[in-house]
Amino acid sequence: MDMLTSLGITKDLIADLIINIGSIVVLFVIVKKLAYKPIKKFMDARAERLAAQKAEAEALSEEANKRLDEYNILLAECDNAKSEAIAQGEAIAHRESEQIITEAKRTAEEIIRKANEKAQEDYKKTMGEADDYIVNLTMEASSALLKRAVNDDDNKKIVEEFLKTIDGDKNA
Amino acid sequence: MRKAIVKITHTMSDETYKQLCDGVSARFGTDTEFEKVFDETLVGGFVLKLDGIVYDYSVRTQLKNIKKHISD
Amino acid sequence: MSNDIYKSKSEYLKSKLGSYTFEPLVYDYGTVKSVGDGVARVEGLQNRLYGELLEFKNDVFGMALDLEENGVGAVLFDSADSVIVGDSVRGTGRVAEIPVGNVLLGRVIDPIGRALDGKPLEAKEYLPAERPAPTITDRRPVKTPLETGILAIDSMVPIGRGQRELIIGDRQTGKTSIALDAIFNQKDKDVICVYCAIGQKASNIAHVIEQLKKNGAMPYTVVVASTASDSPATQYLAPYCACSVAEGFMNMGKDVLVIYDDLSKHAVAYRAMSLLLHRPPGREAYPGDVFYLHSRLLERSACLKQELGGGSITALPIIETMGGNISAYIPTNVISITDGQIYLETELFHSGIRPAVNTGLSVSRVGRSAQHDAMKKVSGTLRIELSQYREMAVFTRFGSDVDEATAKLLRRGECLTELLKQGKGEPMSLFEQTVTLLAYRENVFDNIPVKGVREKARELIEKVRAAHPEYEFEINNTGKLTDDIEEQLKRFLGEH
Repeated sequence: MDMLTSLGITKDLIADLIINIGSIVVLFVIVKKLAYKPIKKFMDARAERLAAQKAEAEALSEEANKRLDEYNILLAECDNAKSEAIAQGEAIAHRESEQIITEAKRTAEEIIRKANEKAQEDYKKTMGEADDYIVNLTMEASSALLKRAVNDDDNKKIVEEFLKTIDGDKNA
Repeated sequence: MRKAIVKITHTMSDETYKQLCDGVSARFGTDTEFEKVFDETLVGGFVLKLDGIVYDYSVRTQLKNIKKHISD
Repeated sequence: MSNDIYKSKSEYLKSKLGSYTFEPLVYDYGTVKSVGDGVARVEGLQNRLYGELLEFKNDVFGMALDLEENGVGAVLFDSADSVIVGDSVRGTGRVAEIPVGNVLLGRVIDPIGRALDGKPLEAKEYLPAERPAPTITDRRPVKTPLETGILAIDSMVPIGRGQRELIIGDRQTGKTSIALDAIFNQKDKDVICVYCAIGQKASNIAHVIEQLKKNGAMPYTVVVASTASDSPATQYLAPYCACSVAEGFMNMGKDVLVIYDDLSKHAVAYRAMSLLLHRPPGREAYPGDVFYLHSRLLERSACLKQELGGGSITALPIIETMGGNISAYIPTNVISITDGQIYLETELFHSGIRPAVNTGLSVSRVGRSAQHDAMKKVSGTLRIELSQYREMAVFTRFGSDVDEATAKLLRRGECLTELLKQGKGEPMSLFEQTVTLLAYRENVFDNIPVKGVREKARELIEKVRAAHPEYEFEINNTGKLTDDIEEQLKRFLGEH
């Protein structure tokens, strides 16, 4: 005991030690009895919760993947439709452009035909005018000529023609 | 007493004019009075107006007819 | 010019000259004894034809209408200023003539045949202004409809090709507008139109021509115009010349629509001429043959049988009444000559009902045989409903309460009256008219306020047109409303 005292370990110290250790044991037993279960429950629940969250996240991820697949399919279809529409549009544009070209050709032909007709008409008119001009000229010339050329013999002939006619009337 | 108007040109001789008047009197009656009118635009021949009828034997009218005849 | 042309020309001239013979000119002449008031008395010139054209100096023409033992009395066409006493007058041996043929389409001419639109007119054929009407055996019954595009007329007072339908009313009631709308509606229908203006103001005629041009009607229309400043003889001749122009086309087998605007002024011009010729005046100072004046004109409108080409002339003469008096002399004459009348009233016009057609007094003696099948189906009860409505409407003015049946009748009457209103220059095709009347018959408008009925009708027409364009094509082109289409339309209209 003196050895112990020289080390500083007194009776009080050992008593304190025993009490402390005893307290710890008691505390331990009490906590284990009281707190262990709830804490374990709590921990289990937490673990469950975490597991559930993990499962949900996995499910969402799966769905997201599924959606992504669908979307890809849709995209592919869209592309098809797009190319179809483009092809159709091209066909229509092509057809219409053909129509427009035919129409334009027809209109052009029409214009040319009308221009030809008009040219013909103008030609005829000019020729007609030329004719009239010639006739007028001829008549003026004849008239001027005759003014100087009519002599009495011509007059005599005309008078005789007249008298023959009225004599004919008289006898009729 | 009927009146006749005769339009002639200066190229007609008096003899021819008399021939015309005699012929008309013989046909229509001797009581016809003649009036001579000079109209150079006739070019030749004569125009006789008598009894409401015009006898147009002028060269001018013939020229007009020729012109129409050609234009047809 | 090249030598060839020169040679051919000279050959041609030579041959023509060679074939010419001396032809003296012999003709009757007379002397003007007196002249005044557009009438010249000519001494000499016996043996004229009645209505023969006489040539005065300076290219003035007159018509010999008074044939006496010692001379003739002639009405002058142009101004009488240049005719002096003592002038020579020559008989032409021909009566008044007018050029005819396709060359007249789109042109404006006067009754003497001169062009009034500034361009030269080269006509090859001429017809006399006075011609005998087709005989009884030359005609066939009127069966083909003439569509005016005016709902009130096409449904209740239908006009057929070859019929004479009088448009009668006071001034400013829309008579000329109806006639013009009928012309506009003939586009693409292979009907040639002749508009004859008699004694109208030159500004009015110019306005009409402007409208014809604006609506694209000139290519198939001929205008024969005599203004109020023309001599009575010119105004007198105008409708006969217009009829001859129409006959020129009818003889080619075409259908023609002639508008005489208007015959009241025509009768007045004839009266002026007769009084100046000292003919004895009769009732209202008109000469004794004023009935014959119009009957011989309107009898020339006919529907020819197929062997003669099958053409027809439909006449729409216009008469202006004074104060709504259709019992006056000239109106009663023309009513008894025509095959029906469209009576326009000032009161209706001013109360907003335009066209102001009085459906009670308007009648078409050709009637339903000149209607398309489609129209026959949908317009059966319109006249009766309108007349019942008019009868009942009188009682409501006293503010009395009405039972349900009468209230419905009144409502439907108001609705129908509103539907029959139509704007000027807004023709309705057979399809549009059929859809409107079918909708009315199926009570589609019963819950719509009266003011909005026309708008709704337009809406319905557009909807049907958009959803079923084949109906429009079918109805417009065949004129028939098959039971099938009718059922489908009824269903469609019921849904909307």
